[in-house]
Amino acid sequence: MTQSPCPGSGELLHDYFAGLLPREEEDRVEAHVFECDRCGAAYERAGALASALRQCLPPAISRARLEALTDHGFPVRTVRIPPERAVDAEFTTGAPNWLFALAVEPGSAERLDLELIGPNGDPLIEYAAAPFDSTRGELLILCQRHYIDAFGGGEVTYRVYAVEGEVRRPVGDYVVNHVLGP
Amino acid sequence: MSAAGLVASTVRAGAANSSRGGLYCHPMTAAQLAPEDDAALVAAVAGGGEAASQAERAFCERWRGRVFRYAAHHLRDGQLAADVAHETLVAVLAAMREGRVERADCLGSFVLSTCRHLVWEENRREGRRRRAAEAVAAASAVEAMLQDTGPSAASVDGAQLAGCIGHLASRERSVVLLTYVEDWPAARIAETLQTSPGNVRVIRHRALRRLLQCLDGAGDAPQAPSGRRVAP
Repeated sequence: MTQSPCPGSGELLHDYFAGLLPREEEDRVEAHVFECDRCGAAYERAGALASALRQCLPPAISRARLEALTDHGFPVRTVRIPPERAVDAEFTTGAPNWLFALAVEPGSAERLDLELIGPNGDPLIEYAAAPFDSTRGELLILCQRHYIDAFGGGEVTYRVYAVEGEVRRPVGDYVVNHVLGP
Repeated sequence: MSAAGLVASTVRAGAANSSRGGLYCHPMTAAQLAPEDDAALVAAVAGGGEAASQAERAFCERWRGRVFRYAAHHLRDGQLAADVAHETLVAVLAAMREGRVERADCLGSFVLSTCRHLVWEENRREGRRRRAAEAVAAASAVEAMLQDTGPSAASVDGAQLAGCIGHLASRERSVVLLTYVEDWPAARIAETLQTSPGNVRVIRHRALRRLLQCLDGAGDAPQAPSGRRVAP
């Protein structure tokens, strides 16, 4: 049996699982990975990664993603936080996940970046282009208990930046005291 | 053992070994077939006896991952994909047992076409279900969405992946999350990040390469270009 040539890189498989290939090329990829064991293994690996990524729940999510979750019964309790305010959020086993709705006035910003700063002032993580609900003026933070393992609880500052062209300016700090309950 | 029972037991065994991240769970014993020799697999299954039993297990272990990934890609539902993957393996096993696989050297094509047909059937059924407007809101729906329960999905640990995502550069992380979590097209990501769709593709591939390396535990986790420490 004549095999079609191997694509030579994993990028084609990543594009496949991201749904970016035209139908004819998808068919070619599928026909090949079902006849080539090496590429078949790479296909499985790339598919597993794409699938796992789709199920990620990062801290900053869009309203649409949130509604897709809550429509399927994902439990959340929401607190709206104005800028320069601090709130307490207790995380207990079995309780709904916390959704922090950060009230943001982005002005003419082209995008919003989000930085998480830990209890000791250490930067924890940064997200460029955090999804923003412009209708309600909110940047949504979905906080699950396992995220707290990264910093052990305590006060986290969510710092929002507005980016316009080359200029990046802070538009608000929102402080949440993560309290670990039973 | 029935074809369905064999497939089920192979999948269960695979799931039990998921911590190893391996695709193959049963080492082949002596006088066995080389897994890649599909023509020999087909012949052994059709021949019956102990060799057939081993060949059938080898068949399931060899193809279940690819079949599941194909189904998952086209159905976008882990539970449905697992069901269709199961049906596919059962159907092909039955065809092998009954001597209906005409081109034994093209077993991969046979598996693919069987799976393709079953996926198509499932999509038709799903369309009918949606038109009937049956509401499904239950914990199982959340499970299917939040936990891919397919036979190969466990090879990527969610907590480990979250840690690896944390080690990406900010733009890489954003491209990956906006692509896969928020389903943004490349053009929109490009506009938001003030770059080109071509560069978004480059960033995405670089990020995915780094994620795979991180998941494989290859070397130190990459630092963000700014040098700032990022949380696991």
